[in-house]
Amino acid sequence: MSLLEVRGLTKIFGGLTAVKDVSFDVKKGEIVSLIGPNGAGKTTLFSMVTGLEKPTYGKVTFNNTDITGWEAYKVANLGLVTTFQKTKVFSSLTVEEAVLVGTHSKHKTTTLDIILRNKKFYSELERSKNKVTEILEYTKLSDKKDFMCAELSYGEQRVLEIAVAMAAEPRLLLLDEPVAGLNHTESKELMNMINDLRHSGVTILLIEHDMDLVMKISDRIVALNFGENICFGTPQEVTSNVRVIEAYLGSGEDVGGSGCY
Amino acid sequence: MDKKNIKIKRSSLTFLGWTTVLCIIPFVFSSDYSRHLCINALIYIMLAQGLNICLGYCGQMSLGQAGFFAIGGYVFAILTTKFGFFWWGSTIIAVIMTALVGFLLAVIGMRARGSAFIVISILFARVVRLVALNWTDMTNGQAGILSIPRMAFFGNQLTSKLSIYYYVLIFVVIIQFLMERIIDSKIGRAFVAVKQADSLAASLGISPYHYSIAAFTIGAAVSAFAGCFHASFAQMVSPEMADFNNVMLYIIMMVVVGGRGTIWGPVVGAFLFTFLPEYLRFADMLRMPIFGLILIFLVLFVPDGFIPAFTKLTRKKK
Amino acid sequence: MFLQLLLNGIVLGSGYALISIGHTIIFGLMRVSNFAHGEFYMLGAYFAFTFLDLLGLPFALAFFLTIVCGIILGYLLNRLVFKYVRDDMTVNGLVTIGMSIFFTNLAQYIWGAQPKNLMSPFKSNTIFLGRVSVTPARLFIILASAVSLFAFFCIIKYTKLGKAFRATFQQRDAARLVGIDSERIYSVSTILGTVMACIAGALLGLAYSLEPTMGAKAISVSWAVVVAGGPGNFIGAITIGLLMGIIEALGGGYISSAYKDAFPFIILILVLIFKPQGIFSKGGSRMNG
Repeated sequence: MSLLEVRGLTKIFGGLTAVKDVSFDVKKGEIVSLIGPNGAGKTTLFSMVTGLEKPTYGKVTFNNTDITGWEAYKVANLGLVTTFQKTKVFSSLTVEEAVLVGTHSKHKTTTLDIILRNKKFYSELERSKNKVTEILEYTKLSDKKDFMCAELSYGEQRVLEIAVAMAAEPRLLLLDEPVAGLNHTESKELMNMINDLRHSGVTILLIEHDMDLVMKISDRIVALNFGENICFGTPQEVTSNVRVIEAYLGSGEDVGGSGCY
Repeated sequence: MDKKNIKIKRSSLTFLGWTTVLCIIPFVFSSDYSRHLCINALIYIMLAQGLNICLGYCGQMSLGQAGFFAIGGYVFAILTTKFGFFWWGSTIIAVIMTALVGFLLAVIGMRARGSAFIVISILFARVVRLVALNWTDMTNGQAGILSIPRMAFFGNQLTSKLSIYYYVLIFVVIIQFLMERIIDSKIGRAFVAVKQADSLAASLGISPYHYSIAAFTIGAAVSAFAGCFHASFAQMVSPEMADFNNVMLYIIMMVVVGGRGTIWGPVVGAFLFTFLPEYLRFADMLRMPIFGLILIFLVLFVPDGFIPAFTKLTRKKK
Repeated sequence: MFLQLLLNGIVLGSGYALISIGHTIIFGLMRVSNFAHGEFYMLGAYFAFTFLDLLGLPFALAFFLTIVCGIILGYLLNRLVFKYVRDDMTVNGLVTIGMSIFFTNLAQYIWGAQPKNLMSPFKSNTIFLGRVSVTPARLFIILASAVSLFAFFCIIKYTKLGKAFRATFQQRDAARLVGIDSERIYSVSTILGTVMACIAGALLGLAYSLEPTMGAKAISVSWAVVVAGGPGNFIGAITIGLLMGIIEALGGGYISSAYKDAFPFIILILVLIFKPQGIFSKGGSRMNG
């Protein structure tokens, strides 16, 4: 069952076509990676899915709901959460507070509950706080929970971003270059975490450059070049596809085309 | 579980502590004139909190609070004097009307961007002043509206400064109480999230647009409420209520110096900037430039205001 | 009457255009919410007053010295204040509010609160162009504004400095990587912005009287122009500035003189309802700091 369906997505900025007629889908429980050279339109594609940008043409369907052109917060409330290419954290909040903010969309209290401080308020607060503790343990940030987000190292901040996103209990998690700037060990750890996330039921769509990691972790891969989808399939299919090799992997070998969208 | 109880107890104690201080103040400053100032300070607490919610918590700078103060006051004044409407009814209508104006302004302005919004808020206050000056049929122009009825407690007109102080204090405490509850909740956290990283907040399901509008509208409503009390206490309203230098500037100072993003900072700021000008009377000419300099230096060096600086200091000592 | 009002509007609008273009550079490039910009306008007028009336210098010299003062003022502002508060709009907004108060009161202290007039070097005879009467001073204002704006554009477009400026404007980090000295660009921008406002003050001072509080009106209109035209958008600043002046004059004449200060606000609201990004901007970036 497709959790996310992207059909004919196109984005034109003035005279520049950043993304052209891209279609693919992401099935529930899988990890799909989006690859392509710099400037291929990956982040723009992401923004159209998450609501940061409105598509010029095309359609995005999430969990059978048409979310084309929806605002970012509305999309997030449906369960589609994203992290950003450039690290974004709540600089003046502690780690614990930041993750607590993440629980916002799942926190079910009304204004009246808040003013009355009734039982519902406290039970929801406890539920959220437990979730936060759970996530902090899972991401190994528990001992840093009272640190300011800005005080964490770059690598820890990248993990924090995922922790905050997880607090929103996403159905689909979009990760834009999650291991960018991390060293080898940190990358491996983060990728393992992402893999584990899949096992706990989160579907993942990620942008990544490190082909090793992409090959190991992905169920399917979408390859973009100059804004167009040049191949969509399993890692094997993609890496043996002529157009992908030409565009991205840069090998001159003569291999036959294979099953690709 | 224990930690939660300690936290609750500590914040309740702080609340009680401050409330007690506020109750005692009119006995520390016990001259009739000082008590007059104290009541003004209470009214300014409301105004400052209106700005605090916008600026301190939601990060939305607004320079139009004085405009809402004036609208609230004038609507109240017109309803009570020209139409003989009763006190609380006039207040409620004034607050609702002003909140609606604030809401509309926010809806139009926030769609643009945060900075456009500040501009709209300043121009708004100027227009309010202009209307108050020129719509003489309703507002009496420069002279303002006089003979506005004083407050009454269950039918008894309040005449002594002390009784008025405690009457207004009840509502200030209610506002503080509500603020505390809202800030320490999902809504308060959302405000702060929008302030610090609005695109990140959006990716987590928090709509910066809606929350900014909410913060602004609340600010407008609280300012209008203050306007009603002012109208009733001073027993007059005038176009000066919307004036930047006379009103808005003080509100800014109170929030910035007292501590934005805190609940009790504006309380300190309000009392400070109600009493300070009195003590600086001798240097009347220099008062404004001094304020200007204070603002500059404080924003640069103690950016969050005194209460947060104090809290940081005491936290470090531990 | 229409043409007369139109002309007055153009005179006023030229002033607004000059002020706003300075404001939009500072805001667009350095993201400084400059609430003291109206005071630069006011100071420009008072500088001119000092040189022209108090010191009795010939007009050209006085004007030139005013510009020099503007340059010094701009340089000091950048070096002492703006340098430290760029980008954080809440902080720099509050700081410039403080500066605004400080300057207004400083002016009051130095020159007194009574309205003053610049000793115009132009004879006060009215010239008649058809049914429209205009004083030489007002014609000069329009002319001088046009020249200043033209000079401004030439600097931006043709000098090496101007090119570096434009590069920094579009892509700050990239420009720095290419070796452009941003500090210098910021300094120049602040100076340009301040000088434009000072010139506006000196010019409009020939037609209107001077008061220490004259900055308040100027800053309100200037902000409306910057936002409606799009921050950093020069064409927008000039066009909307002129428009504001014209509408204020026409509105004041035909609709109501008392409410003429409200027109910039109304225009701004209308613009924001229909095109939230500002009339001329090419769309999409949020102004939130």
